[in-house]
Amino acid sequence: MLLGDFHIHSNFSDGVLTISEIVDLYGSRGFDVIAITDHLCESESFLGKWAKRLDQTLTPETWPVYLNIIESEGARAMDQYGMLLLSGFEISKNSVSNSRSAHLIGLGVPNFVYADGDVYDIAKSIKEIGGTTIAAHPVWTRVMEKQTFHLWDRRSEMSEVIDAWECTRNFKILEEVTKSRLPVIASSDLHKPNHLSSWKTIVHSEKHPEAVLDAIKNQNLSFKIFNDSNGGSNGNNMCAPILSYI
Amino acid sequence: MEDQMETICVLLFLAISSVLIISTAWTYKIRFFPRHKRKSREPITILKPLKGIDEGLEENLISFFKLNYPKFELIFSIASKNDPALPLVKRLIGLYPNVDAKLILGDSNVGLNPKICNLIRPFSVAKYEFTLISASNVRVEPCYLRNLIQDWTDNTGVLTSLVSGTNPRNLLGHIELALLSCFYARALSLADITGNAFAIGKSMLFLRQDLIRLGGLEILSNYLAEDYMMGELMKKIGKKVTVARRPVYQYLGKHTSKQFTGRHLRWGQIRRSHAQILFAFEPLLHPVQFIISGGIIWKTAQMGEISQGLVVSLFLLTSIDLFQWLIMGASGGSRIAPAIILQHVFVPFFWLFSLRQPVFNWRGQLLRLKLGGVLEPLHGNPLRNSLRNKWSRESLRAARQESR
Repeated sequence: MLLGDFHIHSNFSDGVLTISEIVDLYGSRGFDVIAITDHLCESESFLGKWAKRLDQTLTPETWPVYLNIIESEGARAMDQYGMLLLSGFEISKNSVSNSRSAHLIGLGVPNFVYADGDVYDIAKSIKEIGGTTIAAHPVWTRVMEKQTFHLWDRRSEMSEVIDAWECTRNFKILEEVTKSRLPVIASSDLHKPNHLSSWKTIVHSEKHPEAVLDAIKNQNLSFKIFNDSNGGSNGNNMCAPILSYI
Repeated sequence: MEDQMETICVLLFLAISSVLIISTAWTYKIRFFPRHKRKSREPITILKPLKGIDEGLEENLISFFKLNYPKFELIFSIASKNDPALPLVKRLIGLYPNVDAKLILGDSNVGLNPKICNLIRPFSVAKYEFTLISASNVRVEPCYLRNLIQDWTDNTGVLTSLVSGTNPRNLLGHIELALLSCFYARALSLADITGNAFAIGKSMLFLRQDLIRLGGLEILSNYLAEDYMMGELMKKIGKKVTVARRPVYQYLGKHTSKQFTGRHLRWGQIRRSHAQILFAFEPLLHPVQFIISGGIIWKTAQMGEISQGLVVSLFLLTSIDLFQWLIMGASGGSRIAPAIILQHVFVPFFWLFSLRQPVFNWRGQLLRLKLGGVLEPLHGNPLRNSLRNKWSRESLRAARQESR
């Protein structure tokens, strides 16, 4: 059983921690696998251009540096904490309208993926090169923040190309997702250290990137609340799988 | 309406004077109140990319052979065997056999930035962990490395230096000196106050291992401002850009108008492509507004005529600038006073012309500077592209030649 978090932002986009600090934050708390998933915004849209101006997005130029650092920090994470570090990104199609906004996580993709174009085609292309796709916060999160409903509005079509849908936010369960019987996952969407406490995913697989991503696709997962102020795990919050908990 | 005008003038005057005073005070702090003093003297590799012979090059290079430091190596890199700097470097290496110096001829075609292409091979053979990239037009004192290494801290990614000038030989040289010592030094000081200092390529000391961790010099090969980007990428791994207490001095000599405008337009375009928001606000803080608002305040406070107020404001501005120049330890003599006033005339023009679409002709290849400082080759018919994008006359001329 691997304690994991698959939605984490570093200072390569709008997170406050460096990748190295993220490794130490999670490694020191006994996590087994995490994925760094910085925003990757559209290059042509108004908001995407501003994200680039404000250094809040991955770009084709920063992508190789990002991968290099994840690789070197991944080696350190394994040596120091026995923790697996995966590279990823969060395709961020932002619009004034929530129903036109979509955030899609891609894991296990070595190439830079452009966020322009239809999100279905992007998800399909990620799948075609062997990546894993996760719909990030697809429904109303019960938090005052930018909402992204586009993937959820197209869920019947998008479910063909999305491997898992985030079904929690902080300590809240997003019931629309859990009741939909779509494949699910729980992550923190960490931007700063105090976001660490949240629902987390337990992966039932070997500690190997491909095995972990396969487990997400095959839903060999269970979920637990990780409360950092309690020192993390206490075992009582385990619910496997979350659907049976609901 | 008049009340509103007065309020705006007071606010502008206060804002600009605060920026001037705070940045000058911070430069003073950097220069004379260092935060740290490192004792150890680790060996350093100095990388010197060269192209052509500019005025004062020989003396500039000799100053590096005369460095007083326990252990350092000096690696010159020249891309072409026909480069006129080649015999000079060979001669100097022969003249100073006790200095561990070598020459690397030929570059690596890893990207669009020729300086980075020229540095790839020397970087790969550098012996020491501490690596310094130094521009060809910098002239240093024998104690340069000793002073520099003192300012290195454990979380430093790039140790950069304030830049000033030395040996100006005409008016443009003096204005360049004033701009370096006042406008650009203040910009770095202000950035340092907010913890966002940026690296300047005249002098950049870094750890070889840190750069390799980022992906090596190759990752900088498609940026125009490779120095700025090195600093920014170091910040991604939790390191910072530290400003050394001693400025480096660029040899100015006789400055031509082409050199002068070319450099400042390029720097303006770099600022525009990397920090668009700050660049947009630059005109708001221009000292001419300090002078005008000072004059209006003088009049409305019934202290005298507006012209008297303008003179007093100009005197205040020049005094602050002269203090900044003194702090920077720059040379220049009596001609610096008019140059310090004249520099402010040029700044708005550089800003205005930096708004044009930046295009460069490097080694016969037309390149465009994109948002984020990335260079992009221009494809298709360069002549048509030139006309459509209303580029500079020089680029247009180059495009015409190429299309023939």
